[in-house]
Amino acid sequence: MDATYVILRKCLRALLTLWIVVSLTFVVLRSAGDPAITILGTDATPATIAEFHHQWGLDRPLPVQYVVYFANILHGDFGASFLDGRPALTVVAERIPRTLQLSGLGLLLMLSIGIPAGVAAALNRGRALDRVIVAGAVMGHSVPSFFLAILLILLFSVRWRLLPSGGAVAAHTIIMPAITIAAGGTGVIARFTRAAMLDALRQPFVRAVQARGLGWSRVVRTHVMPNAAIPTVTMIGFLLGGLVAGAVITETVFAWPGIGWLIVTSVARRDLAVVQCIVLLVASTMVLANLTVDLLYVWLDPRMRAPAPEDA
Amino acid sequence: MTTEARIITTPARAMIRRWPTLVVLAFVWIGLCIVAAALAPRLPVSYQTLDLRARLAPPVLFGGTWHHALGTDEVGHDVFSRLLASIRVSLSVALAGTLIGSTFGTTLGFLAAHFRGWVDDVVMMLADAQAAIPFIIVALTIIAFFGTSLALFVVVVGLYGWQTYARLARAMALSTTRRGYVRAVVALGARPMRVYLRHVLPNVAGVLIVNATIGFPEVILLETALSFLGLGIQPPLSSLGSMLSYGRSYLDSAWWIAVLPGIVLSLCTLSVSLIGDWVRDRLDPTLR
Repeated sequence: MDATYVILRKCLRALLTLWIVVSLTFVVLRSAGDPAITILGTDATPATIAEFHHQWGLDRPLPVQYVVYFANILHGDFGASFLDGRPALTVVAERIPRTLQLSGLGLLLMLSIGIPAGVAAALNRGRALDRVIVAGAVMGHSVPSFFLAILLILLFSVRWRLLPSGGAVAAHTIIMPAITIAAGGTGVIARFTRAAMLDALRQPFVRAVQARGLGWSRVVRTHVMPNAAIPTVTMIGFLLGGLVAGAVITETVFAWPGIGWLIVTSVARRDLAVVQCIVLLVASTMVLANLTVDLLYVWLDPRMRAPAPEDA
Repeated sequence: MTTEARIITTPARAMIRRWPTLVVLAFVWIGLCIVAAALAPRLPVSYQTLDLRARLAPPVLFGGTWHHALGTDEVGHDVFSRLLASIRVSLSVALAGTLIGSTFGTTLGFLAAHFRGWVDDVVMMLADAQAAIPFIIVALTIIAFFGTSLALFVVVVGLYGWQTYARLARAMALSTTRRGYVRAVVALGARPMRVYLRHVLPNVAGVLIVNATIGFPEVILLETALSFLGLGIQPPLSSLGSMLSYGRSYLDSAWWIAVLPGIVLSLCTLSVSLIGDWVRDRLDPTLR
């Protein structure tokens, strides 16, 4: 009963969050004036406006409008991009693979550099290696990604002419965007892994297994690291949010044709149907990702299977 | 160091331990930036003054003259003046944003704690929803629908992180209102407004201020990122972000336009994070 209960509860919460996000976009859409004009543009003909009103049920009472809005979104109908009249969902869907490529590689870089660096720092606490890693992590977190991007372009494209400064023409064009998107998160992961490792190393069981004669490297691998993994996994959930924000900036700087660049150009052009589609897409991805992390947590840590006590 | 030396610490040594060098440097840097922001409008050369005879002049150490210490851009705008003006705008927007966010979040948190029931549920639901979506997406949506006015932009930046203040204020108000002295004030007939402003707020202010210090670098980054994308501060005003974005077009000919604001920005976020961590550690006795 308890594990199922916890999982059901988490799923319900995720659905609730999605419902709030959709409702809030409805409120924003309605409070920004006539959505027909905001979405179709001021030069739309009265006939297209009337058709839009009818299609989105805007000629009916507010509660009905809300239901129609919801139904349209559930059917994947987000309206048309007024740039070329194609459905917003199609415009957005075309860009998804590029964003997945970039953020996938970014996440891979973060984990494959951040986790080993954090573990190494914790095992060498107080020594030079630890200081170097911590300083690097703080720098990675403090230098804004758009400045890092500019420094990379300045060095690798302008000075040494090694890499192109933008676009997605060849395989190696992804190198600089991937470094940019990964830098901040790598620092966060390294610091977090270091803290989690230090915490696990301080536990009495470490001394107990050592006293039983287990070699140090085995203690670290089989007892310390699994315990440090639990908080690190939750951290990855937070990092996904950072990846989305990173994609917005990185893709725009490097002209990488993904969703992040699309939302910036759409906001600048007021292509509201596309903006709205991306917002709902990102929100549902984030909610699903957080749900996955939560469930992973339940699986990793048996203590989480008990229902959470009500917070006062 | 012997045990004796560790126990008997002179005031100077205690001071060094309490004020690590890096934190002192961070305070110095932030102080410099505040002075720069204050002086920006009094500079002899405005950042909008054209000096057509000194276009694309490099900074002093790279072959330039003291006349334009940090160089100029392609129409002869002085980079140093623009840098100070940008620091002024970026710091002011981040400060105003932090004040708005903390006030808004704290008020919602207090309302949730006071009324409980459905008010509490709604506030907490909104906080959960906010935490689930990257804020930059929310900010972009609001800007897309309502446009890029300065007032709206400050409010958007201010909304960042409201949910952390709401959560903290709610939790602390719930525990504080159970205490004897608050009950006594309520029994004496104080109105809720007076109870929260005069008795609860002073008790939770420390925690909220630490939260604001730790969140401040992120607010600066949000403002500069949006301005960098061209969706924040609009010309003729200049922010560190819009200056960097402008300098991006001149990386071939005048690297200093983009690199200088970038260095200033990185030092600012680094300094405030250092100060924030230090304040938190000092106020948290369990970490000592």
